[in-house]
Amino acid sequence: MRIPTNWLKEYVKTSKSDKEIADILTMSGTEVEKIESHGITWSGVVVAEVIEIEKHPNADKLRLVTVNIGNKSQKVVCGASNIEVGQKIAFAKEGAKLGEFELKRVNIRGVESSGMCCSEAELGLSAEAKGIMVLDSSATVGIPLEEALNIGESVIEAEITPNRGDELSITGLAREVFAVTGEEFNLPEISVTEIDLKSSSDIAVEILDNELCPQYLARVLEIDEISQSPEWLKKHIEAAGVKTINLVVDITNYVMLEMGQPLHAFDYNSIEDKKIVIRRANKDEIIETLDGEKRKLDETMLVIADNKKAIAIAGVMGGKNSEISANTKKIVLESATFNKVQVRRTSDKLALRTEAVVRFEKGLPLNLAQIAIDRAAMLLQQIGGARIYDGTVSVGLNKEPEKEIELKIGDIEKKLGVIMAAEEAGKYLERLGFEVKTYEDFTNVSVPWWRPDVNISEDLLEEIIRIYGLNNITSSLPSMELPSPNLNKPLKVEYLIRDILLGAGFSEIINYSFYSPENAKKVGFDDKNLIKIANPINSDMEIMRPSMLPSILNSISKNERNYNYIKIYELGKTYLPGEEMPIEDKHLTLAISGINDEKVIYSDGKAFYLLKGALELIFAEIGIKNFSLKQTKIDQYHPGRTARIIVGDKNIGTIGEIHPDLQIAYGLKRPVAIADLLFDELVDLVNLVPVYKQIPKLPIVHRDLSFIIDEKIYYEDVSEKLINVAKELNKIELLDVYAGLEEPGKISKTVRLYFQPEAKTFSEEEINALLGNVMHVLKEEFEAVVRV
Amino acid sequence: MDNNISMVDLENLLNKALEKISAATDAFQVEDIRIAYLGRKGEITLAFKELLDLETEEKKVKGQELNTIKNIIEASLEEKTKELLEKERSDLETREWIDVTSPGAKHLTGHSHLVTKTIREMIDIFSRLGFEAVDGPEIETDWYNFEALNMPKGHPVRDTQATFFVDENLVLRTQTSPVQIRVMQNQKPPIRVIVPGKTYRRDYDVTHTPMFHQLEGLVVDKGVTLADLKGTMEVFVKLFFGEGRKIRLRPHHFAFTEPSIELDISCGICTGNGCRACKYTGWLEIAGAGMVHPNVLRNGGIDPAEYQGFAFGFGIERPAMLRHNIDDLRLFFDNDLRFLEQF
Repeated sequence: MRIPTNWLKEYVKTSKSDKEIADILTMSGTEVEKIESHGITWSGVVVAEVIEIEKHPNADKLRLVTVNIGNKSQKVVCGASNIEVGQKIAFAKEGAKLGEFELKRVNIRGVESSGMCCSEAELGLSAEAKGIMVLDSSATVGIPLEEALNIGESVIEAEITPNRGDELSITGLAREVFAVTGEEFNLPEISVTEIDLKSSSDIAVEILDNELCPQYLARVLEIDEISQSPEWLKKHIEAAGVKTINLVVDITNYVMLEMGQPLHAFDYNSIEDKKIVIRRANKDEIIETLDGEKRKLDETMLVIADNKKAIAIAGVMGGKNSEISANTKKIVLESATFNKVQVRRTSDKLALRTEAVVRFEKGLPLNLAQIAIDRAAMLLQQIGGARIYDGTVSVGLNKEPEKEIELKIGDIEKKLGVIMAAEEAGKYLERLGFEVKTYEDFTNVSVPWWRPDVNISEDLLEEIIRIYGLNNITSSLPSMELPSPNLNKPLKVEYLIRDILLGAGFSEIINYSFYSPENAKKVGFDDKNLIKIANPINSDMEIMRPSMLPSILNSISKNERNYNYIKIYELGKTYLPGEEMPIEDKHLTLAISGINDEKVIYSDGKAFYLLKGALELIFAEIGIKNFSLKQTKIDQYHPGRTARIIVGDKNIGTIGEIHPDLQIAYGLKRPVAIADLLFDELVDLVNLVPVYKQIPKLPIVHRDLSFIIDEKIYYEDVSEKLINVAKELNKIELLDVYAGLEEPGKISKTVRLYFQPEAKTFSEEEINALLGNVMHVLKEEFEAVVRV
Repeated sequence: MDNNISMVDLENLLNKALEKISAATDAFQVEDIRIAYLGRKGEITLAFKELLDLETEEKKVKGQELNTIKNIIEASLEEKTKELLEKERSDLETREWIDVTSPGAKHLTGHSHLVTKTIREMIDIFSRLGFEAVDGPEIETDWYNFEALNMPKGHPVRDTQATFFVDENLVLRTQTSPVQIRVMQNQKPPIRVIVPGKTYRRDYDVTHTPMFHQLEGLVVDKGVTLADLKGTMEVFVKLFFGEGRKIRLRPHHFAFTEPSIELDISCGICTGNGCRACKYTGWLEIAGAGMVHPNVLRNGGIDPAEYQGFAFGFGIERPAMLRHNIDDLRLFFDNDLRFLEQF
């Protein structure tokens, strides 16, 4: 809402500057977005009165002047010769801005001087000036100069919250300012002089849909000439952002801006049979609106019509066929109340938002229509010499039901935490137009008709506290007993894993939760098993992701150009249709693409083994010991390089290289290994409290052993067997694999065996015996050939 | 008399040893010399052993001589060692000079997403105030997302939150607030929770992404006041943005709180003087809040006559953008590592 401050001040008398008015509005709930200043290049210049003139002690040509700037007097050094006691002058206060120049306190030849007596040239009001600017003796001391000179205009642009339709009017905003300052507030007096002989019943009104149009008022006027509006009126409505058209249209807009009630004026002669019907539009009914567009309507919309045709879209825009033209001599003024939801839907459907829509869609109080139509008639009479026919044609309801709310005074302290006398609270309410009936513990407050948003005592508390000022509240902290704290294991595990991944070099990505149907298809989801957004931003954001893979692969694809080696993870959800609610599963998904010089003993599947190493690290750190990989086949993964991640008997995810076809589908240069874990399953398995194991006193001994074995025998099967050969065998480490043997299907592996002595160090014979047992198992169980 | 160790021999031995010591150029040579003379099979050691075969008187004389020679060699070795060490240290600077301005060897670390970092910091702060983090579904029913939060069908606020619909009943949650209702339904007061999470609205430009994050807070108990809300917000701002930021509460309107407020902090870029970031107001809006509306308490199964509470909601990306001077919100979800690695 654009608020020309000069207009605002016609209803609220205040000593506040425009900037202060803006702050008052913001701090009472009407957020000011900006203040536009037109025509002035200064700020902080006020009207001051010259009280006393003394000589400057150290300079002949300078004088020491005492000025009154309203709330105080101060001394300033001045060099002008035309200054005299009693003059009203333009005075720039300390901190004032004259163009780019900011005024600071200075010392002029040994005398402190704060502020400056300004000349017209210094204010940019004339090219040159002989001395300081002397103002009319009637000017009010202390007020901003621009106001005293009545030049320039500020327009405050404020955001009106959806509950405050009453603030879509200059008078409504003036009331807000008054509620805070308590200075003076006046609504315009409205009196209509009607012509007895001629009656408004020259026009008939019928409402066919009372729900969509609870009230319709019409007045008939005659006017000799459709003139242009006077300058002051033009200036007001243009500053408020509305174009001027002609006097009649301008006055309907003026009253709309002033009071908040949209009005419309029809050319009387273009109304067929002199009858206005408010009805639903016919299917595919066409109307040309005032903006020259032909618009196709439907049955959900409401129109103002005569017996033959629609002449306006109710609450949205008038029709071309009945507009006020230069030849109009007789006018029908409309002031009506329309259903807010219907107006908004019609406006949405037609993609046509007007000042009228903005107001109707908030819901207008019934009481306003009569006031506004009278105000417009009065202005047409005063300015345009219009003759007003007797009476208003009034159909439907015209008063809001009276509302009374019981306010418990004790709630001010109990709910707001503020100690305030009942009378103070009452004062704020009364300034806003509420009527406070009693000042007892339970106070009855009647709500003014223009405040449909106030319905319960909490609403009254809000009114009280916003005028009192939120920043005047003394802060406290909740003194309540704390809820019994939970461990919140998932969060703890989440941050633990994030920290491990951070240290292991994985960067976190966050993808949108949606992607295209094509992405879902690439990872094997057909249309049926997906959650689709009915109104996506575009088709790239249409499907709630059923799988993490596309998100990860797209991220890798995006970064491959700049990075040869990528380690990323995402902790996020997948979404699949469920019975009552969709199924949201939290996934921890890791990926490695490319390889760097991190040491891997394998020549094949490096990315896989690097990622498996990361899993091993995470599991070790979160206390999951018994995890293993079981080779498997999954469509999107490489058939020979994929495994289920098994902990105990639980399958908690998948690890593997993506299938070469998927790699191609995502245009990836390098193979990608992905580990996709169900986070909640992981959390259940975590053991955050490891048990201490004695640190051995004797040094550990190791021996390396190479053997040739069938390449399809899983290493884990071998190592599990070996570790059980002797209790002294503490750990087995795979040092090397060599696949380039002459014998097909065989592979050479080198392991390091760690033997931990307990009571005394091993003798060479004991070690050899242990090694012999290991070799025996290798030979007997796996037909391995130990290389000596 | 078979005299193995003659004076001449000893003198020769000593001279030779001293010659060798003098010629030594490093600690290894010195050690070799020490072993050759004084080691287990060294010449001096062997000579001592030979003494055992001599007569007492001669043993005594020779022994003394041998001892003298041994002492001289030991002293010379020690001196030589010291000399070599000094020499070595004297040119250490030039011999083992490195270019300290050459880049360090790389230690690779990952990077947490800025959103995660910000949420984590907020959780830490609110944890200290006794708040517990909870979670809820991102695809919500119309009832939880709107209806229960005092936004019945046709409510104009529904339009201001451009909503993604799955079907008539399901929406992508437009705020983390539906979790308020779920918490109230499952937990008796006192309640003190925060809800960090993803939220969705149908906007897409430099300052809007269709997915973004919020952190919701809810406190419900007897006697929780607006003044408590103000105090809580002040503590948060102080801990998150640091001392010296001013805070301002403005009345506002939300359907699910009454009274409703918005929280502004003084602009950190212009320190409140007005700049582009704060649209020349000196203030930046960072949260919406208010006293929980009685209807919302009722919908959560809590009697508003007995209990009252406050709720607040912070955006995550916006404070992060302000803190790090990021001018395009879309970067957060582009997942360009060149962006992510900066945090």
